[in-house]
Amino acid sequence: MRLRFLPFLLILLTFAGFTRGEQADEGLLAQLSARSQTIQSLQGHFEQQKTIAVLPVPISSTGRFSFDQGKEVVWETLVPVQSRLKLTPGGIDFADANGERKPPAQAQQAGADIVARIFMGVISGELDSLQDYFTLSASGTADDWHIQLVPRSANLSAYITRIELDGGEFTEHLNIIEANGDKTYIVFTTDKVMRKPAAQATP
Amino acid sequence: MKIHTAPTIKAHGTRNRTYALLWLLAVCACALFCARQIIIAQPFHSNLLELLPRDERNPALHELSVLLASRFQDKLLVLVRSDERAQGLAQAQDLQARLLASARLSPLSAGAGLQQELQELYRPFSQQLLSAESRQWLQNHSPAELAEQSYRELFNPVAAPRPYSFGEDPFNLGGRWLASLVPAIKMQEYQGFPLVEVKREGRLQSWLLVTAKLNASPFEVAVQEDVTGAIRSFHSAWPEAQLLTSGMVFHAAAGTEQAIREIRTVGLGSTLAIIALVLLVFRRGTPLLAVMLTMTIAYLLALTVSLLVFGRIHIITLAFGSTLLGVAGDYVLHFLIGSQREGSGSAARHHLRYAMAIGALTGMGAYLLQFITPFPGLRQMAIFCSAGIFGAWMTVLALAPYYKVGPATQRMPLLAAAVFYRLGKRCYQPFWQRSRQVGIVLCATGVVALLGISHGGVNDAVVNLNTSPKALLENEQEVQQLLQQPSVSQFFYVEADSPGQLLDRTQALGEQLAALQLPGLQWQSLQHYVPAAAQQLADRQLVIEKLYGEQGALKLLCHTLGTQCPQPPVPMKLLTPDDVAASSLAGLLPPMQQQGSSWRTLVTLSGDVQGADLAALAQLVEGVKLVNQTEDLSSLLGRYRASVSEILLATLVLLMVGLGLRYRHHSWRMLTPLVLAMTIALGCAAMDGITLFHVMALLLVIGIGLDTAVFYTEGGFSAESWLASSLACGTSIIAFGLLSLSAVPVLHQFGLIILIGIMGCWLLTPLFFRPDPELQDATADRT
Repeated sequence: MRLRFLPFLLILLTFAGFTRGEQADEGLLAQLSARSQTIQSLQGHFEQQKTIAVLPVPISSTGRFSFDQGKEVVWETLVPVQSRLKLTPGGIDFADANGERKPPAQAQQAGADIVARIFMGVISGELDSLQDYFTLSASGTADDWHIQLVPRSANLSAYITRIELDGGEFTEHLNIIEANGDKTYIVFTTDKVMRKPAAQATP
Repeated sequence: MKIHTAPTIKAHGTRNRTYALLWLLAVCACALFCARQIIIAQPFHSNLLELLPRDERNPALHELSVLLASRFQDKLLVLVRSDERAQGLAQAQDLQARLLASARLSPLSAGAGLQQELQELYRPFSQQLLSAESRQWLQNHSPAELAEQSYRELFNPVAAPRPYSFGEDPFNLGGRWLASLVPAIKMQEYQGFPLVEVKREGRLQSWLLVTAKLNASPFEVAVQEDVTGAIRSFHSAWPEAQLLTSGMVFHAAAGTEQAIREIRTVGLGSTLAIIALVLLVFRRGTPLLAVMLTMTIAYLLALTVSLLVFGRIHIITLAFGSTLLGVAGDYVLHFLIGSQREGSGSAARHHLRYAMAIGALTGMGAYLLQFITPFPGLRQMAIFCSAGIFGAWMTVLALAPYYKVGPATQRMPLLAAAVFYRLGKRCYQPFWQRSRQVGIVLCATGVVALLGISHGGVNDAVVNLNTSPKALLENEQEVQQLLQQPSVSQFFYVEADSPGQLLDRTQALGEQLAALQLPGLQWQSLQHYVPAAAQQLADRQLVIEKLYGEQGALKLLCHTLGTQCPQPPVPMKLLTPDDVAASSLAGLLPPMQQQGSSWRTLVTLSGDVQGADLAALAQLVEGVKLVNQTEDLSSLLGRYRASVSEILLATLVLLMVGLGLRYRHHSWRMLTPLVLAMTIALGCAAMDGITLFHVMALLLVIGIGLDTAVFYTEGGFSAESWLASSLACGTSIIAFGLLSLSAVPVLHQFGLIILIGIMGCWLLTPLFFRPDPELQDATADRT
């Protein structure tokens, strides 16, 4: 399984912008999914903390992100290293600090297809794409929700134990627990949101 | 006829009783033995692999290729067309539920836990196994660059997943190694089902893969019934669903169904036809009883001997063996007509003793010649049928004295004979009168048949050995192609004196294959999973030097991270083929085998092998041979076709000499129709080329057809000879005619040649035996 964490990060981001609702689990998921479609574009910044099992202190990074529904997602790390990653329906575009473009190692074969597919599915607000790989369970309310993703296949769970995310109006926290003991914790801050016109939002 | 004196008759009577009793005892023992075996050992099977011919020149290769082919024995794969994703998913879920409802099937776990198993297997060796990509990365960069790039990777969300912790494997060499093992096929996942997408004819096709593991052998009928039942009920629930199936169980199920159908048609058909014939001719119960008894004993003995020799019997053998009923029927009919003529069973036995012995021995000989071939199926058929003929012969000999012909019934079959004789004579009369023209026509027919034979040429295609329906084979091929399964028909065979040398040679072969630079070509070699020892040592050295030395990348990386890093454990020993062979992954990797000091493995191929001269490539590396099973099998068929043809010619020459000595001037009359019938049969049946099985069937035509001529040698065309030969040929024609309807190529080819050959013998032989005028009058008087 050549799955990367990136698609999941990106997918999860699109849950930002859920509006109000009281139902739990299946109902809640459907509600959150439908509402994610009302967002046209979103910008914000992130703080990432990666805890590596044997290292005494976690390693931190910060940067910014944005997505434009149906078009692209950009993930830009600013500190302590600089890199920019752009995902479009056509594929992955990775550039390092010097602006030098290169295909991300190993992501170009089977992985890239999956990334693009899941990404586009999520942009259009279809939870099905995530369910291809994970079993989703939701709890809480639309104002204060928590979603947990558990890999469906043993091959994926050889790498990822589970993914958790929670938020209110937008996604606030993301926690990836890897099978090797590493953990990645990301805090999102949403800066700017543009919603679709009401007529388009409820097709 | 010999006149017996009273004491000799009495002595004969005692001896006859002893023989009959002994024989009946033997038959009872056979029946008990068969019943016991059938109930306890369940000896009937449909294992197609056991029908594969053995290549005597390289038994090790045979074992490895059977092992490779058996890989798909214990699982089944079904692809469900799912261009419409939601419906495809519903169908896949439904199909899986139906399959797993059977206690004989369970979820296939091999693929599921694979990642974890691979991770565990390679964990101790992760610092000396480098993918080609990582090796280049280490070689082309300085420790400072390696440290810098690895530091950046820690923040990169698209970094390769890490199977091992930072402490064990800070540079994720293990992750890269494992990623390099993943086959290139674009296998994705959709809600727990593997998803395959391919572009075909400009359209994107998607398929969901449903799998199951067989808890028992695919050749067990109960397993086959569960699988075919699940598929059938699925099809009726989803008539529009499109499925592609792969797995031995589907072929085995089709084989069983086919064989049972054939046994039913041939067995039941010939039994009914023989009963009808006997009733028509004799109009009494006793002859019918005699016929049924002989056929049953023949079949029983055939079964006993086969079980004793082989232990297990393939059901295709049973299907072919059903023709035995027809052949065994001959002997007893021959005897019955003789008894009618001679007035008693013992007189007939005495009179016919040589004719029956010649008939039985030539028949058995013709069948036993099949035993010299390397085809296990044919060997079984040979033993089965010759034992059956022996059984029929012995039954007639042992029980003959107890067949009584009452004076009242004595004339009845002769009445039938007379009616039939008049009919036959009326048909043949015009031909006898124009013997010159008939000769010309026969010569012309022979020439046309010869032209047909030379036009058809020879046919050694492996497809002749298939027992699976065409649609099923196409299905299988499509699945293989979609899933890029390694080919079982073409691969490299690598042999070496030690495991180390084996890996060196597979590595050398891998390098040659890589040098071809064919993007569509993939190969699976042991060396992919276990690099050669020299490679591991060199890689370990490179890793220590670039990453963990005093000035290595780890020190620099940890300096940047501002922390102390523990040094990962560097492996002390090498990963060997034994480590892999001992793990549960062995079944997924190319097979390897050790015998004495010799080590062998296969390098399998998948994808597009067109345009590569693989045979030439194999010659570049010592100990490597390209195996093309299809071609090898085909040339094997060709070799045996040639040698069986020689046997056939030698048999004809020997017959010519033997018959010449015994029958003198009659011998050409016996042989000409036989040879002509064989030529016509071959000309008709071998339109698509002569196969090995056609030639073997001709041997049987000699065995059965010669009897016909023997009937006419005394007294020419007469009421008795005409009836006897018609009955004898009739039973064979019915049995082999039904066999020629078979969808199994081997059975069809056998059936057709024997059908036409025997029919030819039956109809042509009377042309050469114009009735004796005196005998004709005698017959006319009697009627």
